[in-house]
Amino acid sequence: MTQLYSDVRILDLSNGIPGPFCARIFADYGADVIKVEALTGDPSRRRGPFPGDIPNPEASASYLHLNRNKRGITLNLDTPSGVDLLKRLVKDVDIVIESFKPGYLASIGAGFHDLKEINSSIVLASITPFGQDGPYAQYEGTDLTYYAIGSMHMTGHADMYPIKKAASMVEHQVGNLATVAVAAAFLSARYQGQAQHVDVSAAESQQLSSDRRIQMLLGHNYNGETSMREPLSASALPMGIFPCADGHMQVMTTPAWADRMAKTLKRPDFMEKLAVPGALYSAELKAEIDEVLHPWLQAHTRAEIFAEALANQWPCFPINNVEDLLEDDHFRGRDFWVEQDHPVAGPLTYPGPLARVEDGFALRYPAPQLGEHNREFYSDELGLTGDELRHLAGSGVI
Amino acid sequence: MSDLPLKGIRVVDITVVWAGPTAAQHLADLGAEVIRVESSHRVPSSTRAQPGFTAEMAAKSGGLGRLTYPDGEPQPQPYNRAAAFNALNRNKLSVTMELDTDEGKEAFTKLVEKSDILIENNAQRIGDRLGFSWEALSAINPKLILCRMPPLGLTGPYANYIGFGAHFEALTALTYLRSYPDGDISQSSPTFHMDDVSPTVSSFMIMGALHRRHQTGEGGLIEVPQAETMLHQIGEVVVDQSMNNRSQPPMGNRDPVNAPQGVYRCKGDDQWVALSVRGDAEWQSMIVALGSPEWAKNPDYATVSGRINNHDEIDRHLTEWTRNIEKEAVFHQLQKHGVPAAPLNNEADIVADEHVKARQILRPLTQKACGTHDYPGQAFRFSDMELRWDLPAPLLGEHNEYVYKELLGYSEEQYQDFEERHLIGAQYAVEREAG
Repeated sequence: MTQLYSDVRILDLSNGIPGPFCARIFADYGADVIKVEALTGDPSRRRGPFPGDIPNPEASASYLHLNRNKRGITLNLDTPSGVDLLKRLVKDVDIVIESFKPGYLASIGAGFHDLKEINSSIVLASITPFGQDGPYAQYEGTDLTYYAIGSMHMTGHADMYPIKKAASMVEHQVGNLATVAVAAAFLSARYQGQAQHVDVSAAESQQLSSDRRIQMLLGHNYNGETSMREPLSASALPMGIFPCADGHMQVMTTPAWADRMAKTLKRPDFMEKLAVPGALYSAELKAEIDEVLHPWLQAHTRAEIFAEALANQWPCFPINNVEDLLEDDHFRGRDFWVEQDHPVAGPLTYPGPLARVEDGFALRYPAPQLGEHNREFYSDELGLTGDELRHLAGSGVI
Repeated sequence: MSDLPLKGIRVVDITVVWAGPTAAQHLADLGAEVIRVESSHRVPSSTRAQPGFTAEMAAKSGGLGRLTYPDGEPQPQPYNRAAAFNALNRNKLSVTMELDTDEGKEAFTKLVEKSDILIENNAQRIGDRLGFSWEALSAINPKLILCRMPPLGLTGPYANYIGFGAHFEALTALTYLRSYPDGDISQSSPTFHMDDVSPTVSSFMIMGALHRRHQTGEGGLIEVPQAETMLHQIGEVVVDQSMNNRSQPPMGNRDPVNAPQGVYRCKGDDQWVALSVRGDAEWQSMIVALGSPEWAKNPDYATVSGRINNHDEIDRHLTEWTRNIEKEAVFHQLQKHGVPAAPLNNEADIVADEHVKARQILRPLTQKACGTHDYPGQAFRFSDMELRWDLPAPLLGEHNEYVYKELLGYSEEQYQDFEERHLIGAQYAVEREAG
């Protein structure tokens, strides 16, 4: 068997997180991804973290993680010969991924209609802050602002400010969502010969598919209510993050799980009390359960509570930090973490397979150094001569 | 215009709660015939509202409950009127099958024989017990693509642990990383980010498996360990741990490079704007957007490290500006100068937004138990094909007749017999028995 996407070639013109992450996921599952960078390199090369916090564009953790399994070339699209080279490259690829401002590629003569003339079954995927059209099409965005315009207002504590998700997860999620759109467009192109321009909007990803946002948007259209920063439930059953002997636990108890809680706390009488009509929302019962729960949590470690509660299928999970996560037996036991060597950054630990399938995930190359595969690509594959290459390099094209 | 790429592909959606139905909805929007298999005997762990979930209970269940029913009314059969279910199951058909009966098992087997894809999202042992192992299902249909979405994978010490998205965010350090640096971690509210990520991974993998099946004729098992799908999204934080032996602390709304970055209080009650300055050139644009106030020209603020070191002070100045202006005004003012900013929107703000309207990301559907409303669609679109937009979320068992008779070939007599014996139904047993 071959990898899922091993007969697919992708030109990744995108910068930052969403586009490169989308392309990398295809690369992890076999696609031949050629990362095309401006001579200044992808800005994620300057984002870090860096070894010893010393900036080095060849050792930025963000860049390394987002661009593994790709080959890298440089190309200056602001020159006519750069655009000519791009058009030669497009002849022989299935998918082009880009994240320029809407209209930029068309302005240099390499928009969707131009590319379609060169390659009649091309997929052009444009992953941008607000999509290709509409009043905000030229607006900018970051991980924080995408989340803000979507669902951030309901995340956090009512007495505090709204708070974002960890690191750059929202921008990564845009990349994840883009893989669905690009895979669908690819199937259309491959099996129906239909070129497709894919328009992915980062802001819309947070307005339409960020955790509970879809339900709440529809719920608002159903009854006019709006959400706010508020607890999930006013029920007597424990829901929240609570201290224990060596840290904190995430506890959630639905009515269907109440018996598992009662069993774990060795208080079967809670079930009788909960059976009384109205008891599910009784403040007295809540106080009574809390009086048993909190001392029990504080007398035990995260590991003890986790094991004991889950033995009864009552979900109480430890609040871990990254060090705890990397040491956790489960992910190590599944060989989820992989080590990859990089000529500049050295051997480092990365997340391994996103999902598992026979002949699925493979680590083939570390992230490319700037222009690392120029010679291999432009001369071996495109057939440029040494003189042509030298001329292109001398005139600031590659 | 071309046909949708999954036209002619049949999907069995036997998923629970949130992530599984979302994955199947991607496939439905892309043209697959998605058949949601449900039980009418047991009320499942589903986004269909539970019978007896009253308006009063909904009101006490926070936003998730309050934003549930049309006009706030459960009415009889509330499970056909729940926003969560109806938002995650458009373009699907619903059939009821009782997998713990011989008749239900037989019908399920026939359905698997005639399908291309099956999606389930139980923990390993539960899924196996329900008959969703690759061994069991490939024996029925060797060309099947089976997508299993156990929260922690099919192997490993926690393979049988269950929970919601928020639990797995805790385990995978995400809750810690996104907590308040200036507060108590217990103030963090749960998010369910896993329910966003794992469906996208599932549908991406399923389409890859379909592509491979075109060439090899072989189906196969896809394992989507939901928690692990999230860990890719903090890849650089994981690398930092091995690169610098540094376990990153919570950063709140700040960023390692973009400064200033945060949310700022605006005019009105609990109104906020977010902004994020990427580098010195954007900072200079921001000064212009602010009207070139003296404080902003402080040379200490001209560099990234200077702005990070003086972040609190800059935040105080910015709040003096934002707190008397509406969030939309700050948003447009900054964006006109090329500075990333956005209002913190609630549902009413999103629905009223001019860009949202212009792009028509909310479009009407008429659902029998709820009437006509605008429904949220997908955040992507194509130049030469239209995402499907014709079927609202199904009522419980709405397509029993089509599935049993037309698709699986049961006779009218057999169908009526099943109906009389309540082996199929359009109402939950608990409600039927209560009269």
